[in-house]
Amino acid sequence: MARRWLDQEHEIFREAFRRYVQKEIAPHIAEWDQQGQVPREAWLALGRQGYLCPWLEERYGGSGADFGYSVIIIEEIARAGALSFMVGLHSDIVTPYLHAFANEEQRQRWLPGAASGQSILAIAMTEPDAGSDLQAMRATASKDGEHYLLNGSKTFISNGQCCDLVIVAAKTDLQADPARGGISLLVVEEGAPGFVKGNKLKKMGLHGQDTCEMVFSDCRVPAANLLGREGRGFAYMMEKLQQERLVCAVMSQAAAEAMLRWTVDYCQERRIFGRPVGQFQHNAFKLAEMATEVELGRAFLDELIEDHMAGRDIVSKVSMAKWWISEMANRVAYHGVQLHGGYGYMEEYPICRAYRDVRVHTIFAGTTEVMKSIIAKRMGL
Amino acid sequence: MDYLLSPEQLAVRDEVRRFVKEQVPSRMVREMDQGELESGRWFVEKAGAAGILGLRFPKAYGGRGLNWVADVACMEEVGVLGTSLGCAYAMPSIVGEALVRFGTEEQKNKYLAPTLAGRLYSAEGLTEPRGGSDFFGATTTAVADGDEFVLSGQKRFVVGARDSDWFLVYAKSDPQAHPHKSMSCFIVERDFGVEVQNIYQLMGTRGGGTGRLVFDGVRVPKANLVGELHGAYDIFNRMMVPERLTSAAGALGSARAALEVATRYSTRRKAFGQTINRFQAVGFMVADSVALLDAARALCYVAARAADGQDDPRRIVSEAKKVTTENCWQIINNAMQVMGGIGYTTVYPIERLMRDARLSLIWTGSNQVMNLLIQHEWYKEVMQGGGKARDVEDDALTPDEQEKVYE
Ligand SMILES: Cc1cc2nc3c(=O)[nH]c(=O)nc-3n(C[C@H](O)[C@H](O)[C@H](O)COP(=O)(O)OP(=O)(O)OC[C@H]3O[C@@H](n4cnc5c(N)ncnc54)[C@H](O)[C@@H]3O)c2cc1C
Ligand SMILES: Cc1cc2nc3c(=O)[nH]c(=O)nc-3n(C[C@H](O)[C@H](O)[C@H](O)COP(=O)(O)OP(=O)(O)OC[C@H]3O[C@@H](n4cnc5c(N)ncnc54)[C@H](O)[C@@H]3O)c2cc1C
Repeated sequence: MARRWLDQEHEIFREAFRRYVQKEIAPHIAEWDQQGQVPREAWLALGRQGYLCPWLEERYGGSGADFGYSVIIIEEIARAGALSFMVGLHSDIVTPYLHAFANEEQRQRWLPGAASGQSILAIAMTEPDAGSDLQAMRATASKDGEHYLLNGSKTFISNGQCCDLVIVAAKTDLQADPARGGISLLVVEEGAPGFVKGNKLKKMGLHGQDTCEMVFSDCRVPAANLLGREGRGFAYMMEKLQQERLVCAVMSQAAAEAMLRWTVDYCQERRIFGRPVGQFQHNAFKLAEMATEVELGRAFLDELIEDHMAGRDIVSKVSMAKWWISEMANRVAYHGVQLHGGYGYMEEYPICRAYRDVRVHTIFAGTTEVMKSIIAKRMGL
Repeated sequence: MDYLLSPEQLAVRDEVRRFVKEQVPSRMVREMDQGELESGRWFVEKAGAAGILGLRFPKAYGGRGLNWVADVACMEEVGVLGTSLGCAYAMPSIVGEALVRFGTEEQKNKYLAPTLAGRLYSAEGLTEPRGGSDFFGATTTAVADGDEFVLSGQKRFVVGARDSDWFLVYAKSDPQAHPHKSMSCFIVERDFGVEVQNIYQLMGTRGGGTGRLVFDGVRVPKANLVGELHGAYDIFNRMMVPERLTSAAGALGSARAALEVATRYSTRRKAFGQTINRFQAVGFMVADSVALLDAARALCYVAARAADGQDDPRRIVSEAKKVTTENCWQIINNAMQVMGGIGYTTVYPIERLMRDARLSLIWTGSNQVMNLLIQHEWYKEVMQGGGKARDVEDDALTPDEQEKVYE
């Protein structure tokens, strides 16, 4: 099927980037999983090639490319099985906050580093007691002259250990009613006094992703690091969560496509009872079902990408895509492992890692249940 | 309330429950999952000393003369520890089945009794590089030579390969014969010269020393042939029962444990001003899980009764294996969803149980292999045994015998 948002230049770019991924990323996945982190050099290398934040204007170090290029980058990294390397989070989830809500002075300060990879970005919304229910966050930031004093703890922060800049959501007005009107976003820089990155969280998957806790104790953040206006933080997040969910859906979709391909390949090679595994009708039909779901996801997602690029409202549909495609990717992982037999359970097979990695896709960036509650609300329920 | 077990069965289950609760340090479970410890031997030693291995086997060999229902109830308890220790516990029950049913008196005394006492550590090797599902396609050979057989070939994915004292191994003793008459079963001591290559890196079920065995002209005394020469077909068919029942029962325990953790968590965790169990999305996910668990349990216990009976239990046992492992995977997956982000981390054991449980749909015969047997036996039953109950075809609105003639 033609992907309408792709033109020939996108395809040429994809070819080049795919080769890059094959050479510079794919061979290191296992090693990065072992190390629990993607080394900075891998970020810098992407930056040198112009693969970070390609959509930024040239004056900030980008290439002024459209969102399609971002999609291609996210897809190709996921397709290689490097789900721990959260380039999309950096380029297309966090950087857009800086671009959209920062003033010119802040943009000059922060954006070039984001594009070069000198500055790796993270965003800290979740707290130990506030995940789905972000309004319940307890972190506070109180104005103290030219600074804010930031207090609180955040958890599950992706790129948490390696980040140089983290956007932190905190309450600047505890009296606000509704509570969301008191939330603001502050940009905290590595080394800020009172900012401590906690230990890496051990997880079922995404071992190469340095997800961690963060603690802020009387952390002094210059007032000049407030992003946008005080009290607007929640609204900013609601706006930017749309693209965040789209990025996640793109990741899940590309992962599902990759897992399907690995499984088809395996089922054609592996012989059992004298014929390829894929020649048994049950297995052939299972693969046919998986391929159907993958195609349905692809068609829906492509339309959504197009809508998003055209600036249309995607709130309901992106919530649908986020939950359905992430669940679908998990179904593909489940059957993919099964079709590999005992080999699917061996860490040396990519399906094994992907199975562990995609499980979190139905949880982070808004759980499946939260997506459904958004959709239901928009249906008037 | 338990509707499935008698007071005596409940008593032995409670004994194993206490053992699991009090005798198994969390540290050991952790070390196995982290691959710092690659053996379940310590656990088998303890369980053997406590007299809880192979409960259904005769007292003369160290069992308790109980039945499959009791065994399944106890296996379920050990399953809360995950698949690796579950397998360590199940193994004497699996290899023991072959010895009790098909072994000589000498074999029972020499191998079964010390295995049930936890002094010998055992493993089973069926799977080969060319396939696990196609048992009779094996290529490992056993050639008679004087008073011995000479074994050559490889077995793959063998839990306990690393340090078992003896292996129950199947090999082709008559490669030319019909596959069903081509294989024999042997007791092979490690010291006969079994080599271990490669300990696998696994998604879960870690710490059991799962590895590849190589038999390079290993000489096995004829006294170690189990059952008839070329007679492994019957043994294989019976071995399905302990293999499948234990993997099903173990999964029950893992799923129940995960569900209890998630259930408790959902009464403490708050979002949007209430505990999350009060959202139907969560409460009903838990309800669905309990129903899946009870359905699987009921089927497992029916299968255990069938295994205790005289008729061929393989169909119902295979159904129990398939349904239970699928339900239990779903339950653990639900548990993880209920927990949100924290369930994905090692702060809770859900992620380990989730990695562990994935195996149960693959090993001891994949669930597709279960379907091969289920379809086969069911067709046989319907085609041979039909006509006993009312034939509802006669109740059709427009019965027309002519329309039912198919060329
Ligand atoms: C690997 C990983 C990376 C992450 N990266 C980041 C990051 O970079 N930055 C960041 O800020 N956060 C991050 N997160 C946090 C993530 O977004 C949260 O885990 C997620 O939003 C869920 O929140 P929670 O874990 O607190 O679950 P909870 O909110 O406690 O949810 C528990 C359960 O309750 C259900 N539930 C909650 N509310 C409702 C409702 N109203 N109706 C029905 N069901 C409900 C949920 O669906 C879930 O099943 C990450 C998490 C992980 C695991
Ligand atoms: C951790 C672990 C521990 C294990 N422990 C042991 C052990 O201790 N001893 C031992 O002997 N083995 C053990 N096994 C092996 C296990 O039993 C096999 O992996 C299993 O039987 C499947 O065989 P396979 O891996 O060769 O898959 P294959 O047989 O190659 O199967 C591949 C796929 O094809 C499907 N398939 C096969 N045949 C058919 C068919 N006719 N119709 C439709 N679909 C079909 C399967 O369901 C599967 O999805 C272990 C495996 C693992 C992963």
